[in-house]
Amino acid sequence: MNISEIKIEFDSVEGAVRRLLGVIEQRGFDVRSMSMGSDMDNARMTLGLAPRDSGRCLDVLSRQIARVEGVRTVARVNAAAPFEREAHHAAHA
Amino acid sequence: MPPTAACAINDNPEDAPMKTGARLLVDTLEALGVDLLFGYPGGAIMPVYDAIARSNLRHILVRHEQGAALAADAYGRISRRAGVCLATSGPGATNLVTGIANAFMDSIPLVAITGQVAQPFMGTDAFQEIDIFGVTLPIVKHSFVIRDASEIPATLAKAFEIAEGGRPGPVLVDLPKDVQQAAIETPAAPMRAVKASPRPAAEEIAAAEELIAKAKKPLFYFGGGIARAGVAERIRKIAAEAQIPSVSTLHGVGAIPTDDPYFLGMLGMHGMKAANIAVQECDLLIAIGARFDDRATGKLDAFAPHAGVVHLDIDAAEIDKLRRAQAPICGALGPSLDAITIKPVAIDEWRNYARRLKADHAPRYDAPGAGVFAPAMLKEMSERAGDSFVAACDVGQHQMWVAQHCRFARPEAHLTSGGLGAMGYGLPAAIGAKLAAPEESVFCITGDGSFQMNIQELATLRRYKIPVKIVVFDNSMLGLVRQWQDLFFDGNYSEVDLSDNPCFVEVANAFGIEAFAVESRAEVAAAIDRLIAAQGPILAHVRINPEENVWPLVPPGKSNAEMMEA
Repeated sequence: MNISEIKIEFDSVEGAVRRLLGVIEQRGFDVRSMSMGSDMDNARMTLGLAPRDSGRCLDVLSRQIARVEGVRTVARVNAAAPFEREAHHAAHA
Repeated sequence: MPPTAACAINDNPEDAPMKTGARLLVDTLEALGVDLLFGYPGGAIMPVYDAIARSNLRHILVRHEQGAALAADAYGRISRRAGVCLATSGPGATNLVTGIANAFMDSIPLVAITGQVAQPFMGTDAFQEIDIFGVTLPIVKHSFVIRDASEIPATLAKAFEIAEGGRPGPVLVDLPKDVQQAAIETPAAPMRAVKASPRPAAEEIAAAEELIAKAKKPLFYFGGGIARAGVAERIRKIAAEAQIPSVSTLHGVGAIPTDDPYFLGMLGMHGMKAANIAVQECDLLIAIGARFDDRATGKLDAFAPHAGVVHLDIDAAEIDKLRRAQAPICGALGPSLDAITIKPVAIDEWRNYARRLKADHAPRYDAPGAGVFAPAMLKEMSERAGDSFVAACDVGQHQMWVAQHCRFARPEAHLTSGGLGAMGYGLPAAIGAKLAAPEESVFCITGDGSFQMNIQELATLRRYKIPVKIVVFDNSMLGLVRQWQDLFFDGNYSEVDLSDNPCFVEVANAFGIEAFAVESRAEVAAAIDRLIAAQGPILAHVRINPEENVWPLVPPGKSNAEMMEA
């Protein structure tokens, strides 16, 4: 099974980590590796993910993660442009 | 209805500068425009109930917390503003879970507020301590634990903004008891701003218009997003101008009038034959606020096999999730529908075919025998009630009959637990609907199995004299399970017999509610008269044939082309 890496930047608030891991596992991906760091308000995670079956699409998962409240960006490592929350755009407009 | 306006807390100079967290919560709810909540008190939420008793909020005391969550769900569906439910910690909170899940699955705005043990006790397995934040993580749009009373105004404002904004959903706010009891200086924090709806990209619109212009057999596929966005009027105008044949999902029922010549009915597992045939033959699906749910698509890789897809949805995560869209349009439905021009070219042959399909496969109401034929009764009841007809359904055969045969003036009038399929939804939902829309004729359409899952809410009806019209279709069976056991398990009936049901007339009477029985077809017209004329809560106990089935039926895992019929 292919393992893909994604990087998530998100607000460092109570419950954020288990919320994100829950979305990833419930949507059909196994977490094979994980590293994380945070300061007061900001956190980032890099995860190695393996789909549980051939029907699971990383782009769809990325959009599902991107809609989680408090997520700022989701990007495949060494891949195309990140998915950014519309709210993040608005906040910086 | 627009979202609650932005406002500021503590703008009344007569207010005391110090407040408890509980009082601040109640004042904030009022400032946010909340006037009604559904709940049940208990130890860890008592400070809030103390403040409620001193407030202008109207609290509806249900008899089980699940009833509170489901009533708040229905309030949200019909008003398009977040319904609010309230429960204590532990079992009170876990009893909300089915209602929260229901709102999550059907994208309904809901704010659930739970009491929690005091912070020093959290994580110690204290009495009535449950990590409801953790329990509900997979079934909320978002959730908060408020750790400091000063955060209450901003957090609640954010909770409502999230619940009602974008694709709606439930938000949980967990409030430890020490936060409720803390006395703080009232923060004059600004409340929420209304977030702008995401707008579609011009190039997405252009690509969709090009596909529509080229299509020879385009088909509208209307979903629940239409009701959530409140765009049914726009949909009707577009459909009337384009004259493109249409089908709807369970939650799309009511988006377009049942008697529209090009509306072929609900698609999917219990969809109408004309609808499923059209889907299989179309060359372009224009999906509006629909999510390609498995009950609608049947076997996914055989669904609409000749069709390209234009997919309008507010949620980017729905695009390409189950079916690739050649022309995705991601944005709020209102601006998307305003931006797009839907102008098909040379589809007269397809239109004529759709009209023939509708005529050839129209449902029949001339069932043999003298017993009550539920589809006919439902059709007549909805037509007699007219544009004010609102149905809060339970789950089972009657739910499908409502979707197939009732007439709805708008999609918000069809309240049904589509995603979760939660038996027990009907009665509390009818309570929430009637309180949200007192001028409407709200019917609770239920079955004998579903009704007994929240039957205690008859006491709520009685206490508040809520004039809901309950129709219990009693086949003394778990009818849909029995039908499947008949068809797919060689008739091996396993635990579907409910022949020892109570007399629901006597039950209703015991709760102080007027009730009567309907045993034969000859009694139906008078029963409908009595239901419509009733000024208070009323129940009709309608006996139907235990062997009645819902048709058509697409067997699980099969293509929608493989419909079974009577």
